[in-house]
Amino acid sequence: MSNILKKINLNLIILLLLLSQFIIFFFNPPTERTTFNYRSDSLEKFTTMILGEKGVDVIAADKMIKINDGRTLLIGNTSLKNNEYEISSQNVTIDSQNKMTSSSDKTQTINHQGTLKSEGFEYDQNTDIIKFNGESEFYSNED
Amino acid sequence: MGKVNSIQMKIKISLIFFLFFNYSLSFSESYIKASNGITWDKNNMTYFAEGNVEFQNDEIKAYANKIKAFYNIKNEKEVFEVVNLDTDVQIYYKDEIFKSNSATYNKLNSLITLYGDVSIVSPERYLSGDELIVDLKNNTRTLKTIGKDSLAEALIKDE
Repeated sequence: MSNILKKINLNLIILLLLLSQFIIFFFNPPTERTTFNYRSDSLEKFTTMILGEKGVDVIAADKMIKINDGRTLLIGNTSLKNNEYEISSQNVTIDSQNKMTSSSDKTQTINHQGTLKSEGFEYDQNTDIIKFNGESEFYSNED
Repeated sequence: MGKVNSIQMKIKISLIFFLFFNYSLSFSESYIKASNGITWDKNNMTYFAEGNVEFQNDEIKAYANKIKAFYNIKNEKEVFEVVNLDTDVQIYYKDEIFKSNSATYNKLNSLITLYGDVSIVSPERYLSGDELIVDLKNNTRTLKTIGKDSLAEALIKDE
């Protein structure tokens, strides 16, 4: 009798476990996870100078991580400076394949005319157009 | 010795005050604010702003849904010369408010041209029409209405 009871209890436990697995499987879908496979090519307090058509571009960041040949992350405080403007932001992505540089963090840009503050930016190297996203304000220091 | 120090201190404070005063005078409040971002096109020398856009310079203050400001470089500084305003335009100039569907502000010629559902609101009058030309330099307003003669008025300053 006791053996029978034990057998029943075990079957119940197995059934409950299977049921719980079933519930977990259907009601708890796997969360999306984005992971960057950081390779060894990352640099702290990174600064580089690039000679372009319109002069020298100076790029500085707290940390530079090269994700792959086409994508580089600039972590922490980042600045992109040339003879026309200086963009200061955080966590900037450089997509060299599509020639796009962007950030979704607060951005401040200083150019010859004044200061532009925004909630992010996208710089398209192909068109040489900078889109400052979100609430933006540009204060000119014209006379 | 104490008197000399006191005079030096006064000179220093006066100098700091003068520098601050001079600095604030040398920069007028000219700005563009937008809720949906600002696009800077360096090649075409424009700023394009979208959303609830606010523009101000030493002459006017304006509101619109879209603003495209063209600038030029003078004395190594970029200056807004022409501003195109689109949708729900409101331009404030002294005690007058100009409203329209679209408008162009030309700083070089001191001209504001407004198109579509135009109105002038001021403490003394309310006028409406289809097109309005505001000459800020000569202080004249020319209002055109389709099918009617143009109404022109010259504002005389109280000196």
